[in-house]
Amino acid sequence: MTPKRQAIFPLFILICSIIYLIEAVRLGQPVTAEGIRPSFVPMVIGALSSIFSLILTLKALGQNEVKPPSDEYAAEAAKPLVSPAVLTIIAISIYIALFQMIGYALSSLIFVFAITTIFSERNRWLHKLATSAAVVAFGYIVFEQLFGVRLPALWG
Amino acid sequence: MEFIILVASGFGTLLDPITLAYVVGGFLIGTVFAAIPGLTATLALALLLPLTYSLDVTTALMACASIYMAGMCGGSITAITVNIPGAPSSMMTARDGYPMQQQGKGALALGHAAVGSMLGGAFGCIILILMAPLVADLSLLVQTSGKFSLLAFAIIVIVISERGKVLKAAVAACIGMMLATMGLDGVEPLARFTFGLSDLTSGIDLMPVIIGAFAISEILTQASDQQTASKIVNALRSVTIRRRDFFPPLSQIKEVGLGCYIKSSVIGYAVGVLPGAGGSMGSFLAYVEAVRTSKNPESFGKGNPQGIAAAETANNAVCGGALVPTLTFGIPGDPVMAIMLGVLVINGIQPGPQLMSNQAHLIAPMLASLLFSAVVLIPLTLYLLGPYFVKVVSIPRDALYGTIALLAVLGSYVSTYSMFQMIVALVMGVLAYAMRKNDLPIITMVLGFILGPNLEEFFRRSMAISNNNPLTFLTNLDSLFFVVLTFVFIYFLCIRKPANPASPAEVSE
Repeated sequence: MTPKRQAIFPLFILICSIIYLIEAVRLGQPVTAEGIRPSFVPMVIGALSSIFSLILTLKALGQNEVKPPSDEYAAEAAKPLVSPAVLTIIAISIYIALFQMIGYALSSLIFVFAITTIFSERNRWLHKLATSAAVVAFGYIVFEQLFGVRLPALWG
Repeated sequence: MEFIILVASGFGTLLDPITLAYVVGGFLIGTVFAAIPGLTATLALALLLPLTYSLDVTTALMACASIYMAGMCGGSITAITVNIPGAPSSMMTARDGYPMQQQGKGALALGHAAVGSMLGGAFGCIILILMAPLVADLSLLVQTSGKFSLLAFAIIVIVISERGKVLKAAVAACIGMMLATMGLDGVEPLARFTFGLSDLTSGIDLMPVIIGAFAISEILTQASDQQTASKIVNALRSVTIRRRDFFPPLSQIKEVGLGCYIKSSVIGYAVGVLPGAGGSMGSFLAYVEAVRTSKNPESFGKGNPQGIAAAETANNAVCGGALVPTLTFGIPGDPVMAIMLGVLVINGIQPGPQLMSNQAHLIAPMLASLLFSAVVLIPLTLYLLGPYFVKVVSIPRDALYGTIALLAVLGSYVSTYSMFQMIVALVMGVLAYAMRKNDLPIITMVLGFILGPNLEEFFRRSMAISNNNPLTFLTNLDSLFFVVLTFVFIYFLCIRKPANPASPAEVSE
C-alpha cells in the first residue's frame, strides 16, 4: 500500500471525528452552573479522536513507500476488476433492499447464490443453485420453525 | 458456600435433555468454528446471538459458556495438523504441535492439547466458582467514582495492551465511544448525533454492532483472501488421525509435570481477569514461562509436549478468569465476553456487583456448563469426533460462507424486525473491515462501544455527587485505587522496557 492509500482511512476517521466534534459543540455548553452537560463527554471523545486520527494520518503520509517484490506486481495485475469484498458488500446491500420487498425465500436464494459464486469458481451453476436452495431452507428452519421468527413472505 | 451449592444444583439443569442438547450443540458448533481457520468461536456466538431472543436466558448462557470453552481448545486442531491456528489463542500450540504432527505424532499432540485444555478449563472454573462470591462482595465496595475510574482503567488497559499499535487502538476505542453516544442522552431528554435520522434516536443496538464487527467483517475479509483456504484443504488431504493415538501415556503427562499445568492455569486465569488480554496473551505468557523454567529449553519448538500443554492449559484457564470482570463489573475481557454481555443485556440483566448477589441463580448454571464442557465435553468430543475434525475443516467454502452470510444478515433483522438494523449491521461490517485492513483492533472499538455509556454515566454522576469537584476521583479510596492501578499498568506496559521484547507473533515464527 502506498503512503497516500494508507492515509485514506485515518483521514476518513479524522473527517468523521471533526464532524462529530462540531456536532458536540452545537449541543451546547459542556459545563454550566447545573453541572456537566450532555455535550461534555462527546467533546472530549471528539477532540481525542481528532488528535489521534490526525497523528495517524500524518504518520501514514510520512511513511516511505515500500516497493513490493516483482511477484507481488504479478499478483496485483491478476486481481479481479472488482474485489470480492466489494462484490459481497454490493450483494448484502441488494439483499437488504429486496428482503421485505420480495420476501425471504426469493431474496435469500438470490443472495446466497451470489455469495457462493463470490466464494468459488465460476462453474457448476446447478450445484451452486442447489446449495443455495439448501442453505435458504436451513435458514428458514432455524429462524422460522425452530426459533419462531416471522420472516417476510413473498411480496411482503 | 451458598453459591457453590447453587452451581452444584446447576449441574441438575444439565439433566434436562433440551438444555443438554443446547450445551452439547453449542460445544460442537464452537469446536467446528474454532477449528476452521478464519472462523472463530466469537463469530459462532455473534451468529447465534439473535437466537438467544427465543431462548430461556439460563439455557442461552449455558450454551454460550460451552461455545466459549470449545472455542479455546478447538483452535488447536488445525494448529497441530496443518500449522495454521484455527483461533488466535492456539498460536503457541502450533509451535510444538506441528513438529509433532510432522514426526507422525499428530494425534498424540491433539491428546496433549485436550488434556491441557481440560485441566486449565477446570482450574479456571473452580477458582471462579470459589472466588465469585468474594469478588462480588468486594465489588460492592466500589462506589460511583470508583466505577468510573475502573471503567477508565479498563479502556486504558485495553488500548495500551495493543503493543506496537497503541495509537490505532486509541482511535478504535474513540470510534466505539463515539458510536455509543448516538441517540438519547442517558441523563437528559436530548437526542445527540442523530443527524436527522429518527431511527437513530434510540441509539445503535449492540446486536448489529456485534454482527457487523465480528460476522460481516469476517465474511468480507475471507472474500478477499481465498487462497489460504485452498492451501489448508490441500494440506489436510494428507492428514490421517486414528482414535487410539489420542491418549497420551501417563508417563508423558508426568513428564509435562503437575507444576506446568498448575502454573499455566494460574497464568491463564490471571490474564483472563485483565480486560483486553485474552487467550492468546495467556498462552503466550504460559509458554514463555514453560520455556524459561524448562531443563531443555532448546527442545521447545521442535515438538515438546510441554509447550502444547502450557499453551492449551493457559488459554482454557482464561475462560474462568475472563468471567470475573464481565459478571462483577460488566467489563468484558475479550470479544466472546462482549457477546455474552450482550446476551445478558438483551435479556434485561444488568451485569454488575448486584448480579452475583441478586441473580446468582442465573449465573450458577452457566458456570456448571463451563465446568461440564471442560471436564466432560473436551475429552469426549476428541475421542468420538477427533478423527473427523480434519474432515470438517474441508467443508466447501461456498456453502459455508453462504450460510454464514445469510445467518449474519438475518440475525441483525431478528432483534427488531427492522431494515434499519440490517443497514446498521452492514455499515458496521464495512467499518470493521476497513479497520482490520488498516490494522485497527475491532475488539477495542466494540469494547469502547460497550463501556462508553457507563463511563459517561458514572463520570457525570460522580461529578454531580461531588458538586463538580474533579478531585473526587482522587479523594475516594476505591477510585484512587484504580487510578494508581492505571498508572502501574501504564508504567509496565508503556514506559518500562520489557526484559524479553519478543511478541507472541515473533515467538510463533
